[in-house]
Amino acid sequence: MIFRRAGRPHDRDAADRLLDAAGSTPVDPGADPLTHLLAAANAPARPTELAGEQAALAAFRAARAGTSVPDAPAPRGRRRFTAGAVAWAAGVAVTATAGAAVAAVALDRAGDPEPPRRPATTSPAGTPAESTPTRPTRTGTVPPTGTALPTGTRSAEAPSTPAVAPSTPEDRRTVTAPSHKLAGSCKAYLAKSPAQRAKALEKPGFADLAAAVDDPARAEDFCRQLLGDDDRSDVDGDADEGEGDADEGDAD
Amino acid sequence: MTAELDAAVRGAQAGDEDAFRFLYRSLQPGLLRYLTALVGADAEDVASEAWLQISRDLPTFTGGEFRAWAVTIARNRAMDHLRRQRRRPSLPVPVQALSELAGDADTAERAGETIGTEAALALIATLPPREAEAVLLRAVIGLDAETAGQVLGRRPGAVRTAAHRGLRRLAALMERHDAGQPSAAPAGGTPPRPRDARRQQASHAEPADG
Repeated sequence: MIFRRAGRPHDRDAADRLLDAAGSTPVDPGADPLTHLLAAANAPARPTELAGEQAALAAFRAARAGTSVPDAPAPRGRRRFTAGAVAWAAGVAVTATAGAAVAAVALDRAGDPEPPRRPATTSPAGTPAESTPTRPTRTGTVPPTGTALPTGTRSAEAPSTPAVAPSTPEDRRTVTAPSHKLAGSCKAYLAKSPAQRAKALEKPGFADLAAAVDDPARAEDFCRQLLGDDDRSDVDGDADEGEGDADEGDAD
Repeated sequence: MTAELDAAVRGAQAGDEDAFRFLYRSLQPGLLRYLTALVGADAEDVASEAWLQISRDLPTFTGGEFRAWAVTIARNRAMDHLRRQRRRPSLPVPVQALSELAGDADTAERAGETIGTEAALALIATLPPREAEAVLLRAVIGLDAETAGQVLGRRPGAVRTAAHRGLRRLAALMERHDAGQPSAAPAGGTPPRPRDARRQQASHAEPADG
């Protein structure tokens, strides 16, 4: 008999012990089938399970490049640092698309701090000092991420990008919201495998892209054009729009 | 493990890509397995959506159990996905999974090896969703009952009960299959609800878990 009755946890404590032990120790070959099953379910990672690592890292880079930007109108590092610090101190109720305006408002409202209310705001949650974008995030890898977004501004799809041409490293994160969003969608789209792309276009996160291209078959060309096709190696998936807000994973 | 994760979370929040990679590698396998039980073949898509959001919202993570936070995001993504698909969070039973499991177990018996991960997950996925989630969050993600309860929005006791029932059901499934009863794997894609088995073993059923 392969499976023995002894494998049944007779109460919740026994079940807890089985569950706690899953994956923590090598399984005794003579252990009951349930132990084997849990150990199998908790077996070490297989390479295929980590196939999305590059995409996740790209998303991480994109998020680093994107979310801490208050979209300041003028690329002035110090001003943006101040705005960021004040915004943080004031508790920010900033939306991603109104960053520039809010940065100014936050300055005006410095004496009237609000408690942080929305976990999903773009406010940097670290220390005020951390919100300073005056230093490229990482050595070596930053320029692709930072410059990738503005490349979208070369296209006709991103008409309104005055004064955002990066002139110093401090400014690389400055992008306008519309081009950023479409470029972000494009990056996420191109980061997907060809097989996943058609499906992706049906998702709300890519609604803006789908609307922009009409014909799904054109999406790839469109995106390559938009992104200048020179940053393929840096496909960061910052498709953060249109995902609804019922998913704040605040599980404290 | 938790301390390591906490350090990695802080590193990733400060922009350390290696720290983020560590988080990904630590969490992704379990996440994917958990999501597979929720959304089946779409698990990879849902997981990558979840990582997009985890990346984006990482600065807003203010402490606590990172895995629970991340799994909650993934679970919400999965629920959104299911809503879009307009189907219930259950997985058709791959009939061959049970055979595969038995084959693996047979091999295990002879060679002292473990059964396959796929087969084990497929079997867990045949449980009623509550039980499957409780078992996976506890055993695969590695959360304790209290933290799993936070993810599921349920009391720790309810999670423990669901996990216990799930394990008993799994044991019964394996026994039944071992005894050569094909009813353990009905055709037609309906998850097996071994009521008779439950009657045999769970007569002293705990209070309702919901």
